[in-house]
Amino acid sequence: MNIKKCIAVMSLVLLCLSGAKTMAETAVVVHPSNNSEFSKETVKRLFLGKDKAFSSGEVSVPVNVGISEDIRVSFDKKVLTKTSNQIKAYWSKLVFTGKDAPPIEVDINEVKDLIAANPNMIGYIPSSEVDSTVRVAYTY
Amino acid sequence: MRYLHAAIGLFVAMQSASLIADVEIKGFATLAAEKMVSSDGTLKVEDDEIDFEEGSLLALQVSSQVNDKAKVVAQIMARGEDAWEPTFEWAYLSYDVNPNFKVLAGKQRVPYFAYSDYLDVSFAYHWLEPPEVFYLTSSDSVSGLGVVYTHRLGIFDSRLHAVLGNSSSETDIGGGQMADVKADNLYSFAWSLGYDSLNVRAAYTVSDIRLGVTAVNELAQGWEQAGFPQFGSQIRIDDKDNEAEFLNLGVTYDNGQYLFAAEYSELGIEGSFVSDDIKQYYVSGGYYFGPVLLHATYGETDRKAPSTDFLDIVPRGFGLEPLIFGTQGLFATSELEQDFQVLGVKWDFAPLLALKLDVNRLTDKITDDDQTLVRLGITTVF
Repeated sequence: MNIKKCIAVMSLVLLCLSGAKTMAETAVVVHPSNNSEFSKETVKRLFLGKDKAFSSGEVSVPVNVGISEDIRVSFDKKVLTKTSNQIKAYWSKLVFTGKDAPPIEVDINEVKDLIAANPNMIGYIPSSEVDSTVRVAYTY
Repeated sequence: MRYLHAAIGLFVAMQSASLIADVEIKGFATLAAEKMVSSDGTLKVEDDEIDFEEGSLLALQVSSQVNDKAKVVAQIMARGEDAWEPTFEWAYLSYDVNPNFKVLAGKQRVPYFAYSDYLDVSFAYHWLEPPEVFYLTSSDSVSGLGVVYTHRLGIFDSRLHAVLGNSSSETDIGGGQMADVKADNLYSFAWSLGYDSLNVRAAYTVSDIRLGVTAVNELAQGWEQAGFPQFGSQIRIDDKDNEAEFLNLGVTYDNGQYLFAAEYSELGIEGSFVSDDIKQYYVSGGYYFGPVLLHATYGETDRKAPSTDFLDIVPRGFGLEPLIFGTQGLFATSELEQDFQVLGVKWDFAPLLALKLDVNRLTDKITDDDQTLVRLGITTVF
């Protein structure tokens, strides 16, 4: 193998590795029986408490993870389009004035099982963890 | 010591309560230092030491779900300026009629202005504190009933917030003098329309105010003895004709890159020496450089003294001049023309923590005197 070819292969491997890291896909998931329609906008409105029900009319219970989790920071950034501190500031206005409460926060390892067991819940997990116990509503 | 015991007792009670019932504890805190770096003339402040108490506070919000729809909530706040003595700022039972309709019964805040009901939650906005000249109400809490109704109105998210109630509290009327303030028959309506990061809001509040100030009442008694008892109702603020009205319009926009906020307000109290014609506004803009927000604010307040034309019927040259001058002088204290500027930086340096630096400049437009106050603080929610 000549040196040029070697570099080309190496770069390709590196590209794939870095690509794999940045493109690790996240799936917004719901209970398999939930047949509502979802988009980035509907997920955003549910997680900001602007909508309290799915398009089916069923009450929605968004499930979040702690602010120190990477997946939460990227969900806030990519779906809610704000930093986690900005989202916390948004909720502070509602929480400390009795107007609304933010989504419940659970352990990152509990999200999938909770959603698989509850038709009203919506949450997000790495796409690689998706299986038949949940339905994928939206990916990013 | 009493407060320490109370605080420890409360903490222990909360700890044991959280073991039995589903008790949730949240809170917020601001730890700030401020220093008056310059002041002159009418705005002269003698005390220019660094003050760590004035803008510092800590609050715990304890809530417990009674059932699916009802919840009891208490917000206990300790302010540095009150020697960290804890008080209940909010204490209510909330009931969700449905996911869009909520009723709050108990002690709660009045939504006079855009930031009024979360005025102490510095983490929720860009300044360390909203401009003090604009946010001048002393008693923000009332005991009564509140309703919050949210619904979708075309492309907008509409929120109606109404509060009715009454309050009685003490306020500092200057010179270290405290006076009892009562607000009865208070009705407050706030309507906001949200579209993505934009929020437009209108609010109207009306109430009967009573404020007992000894010097003012002595003046009214002086007129009574001089044969003009009818002047009392125009001077006193502890009788029944003192209706206070607040009209407020506001807009806020924050998309995480640009920030804009503006408010306009018309308010006043009728039938007393206090201004019945206050007009004020501010505009504020900011830009985010990643976690750092740079912002600037400019605003003006214009308070007109109520008319003293009722004194025209008093015959001159009968020794009543001291009463006349005293009354005119009292009414003149309600006149105020000021502008204010704030230059600030907010840095979200860690999750749930922000560091803020505000430089506040206030100018008396009548005398051209000014003062500059620098504030630095850390704010958090938890």
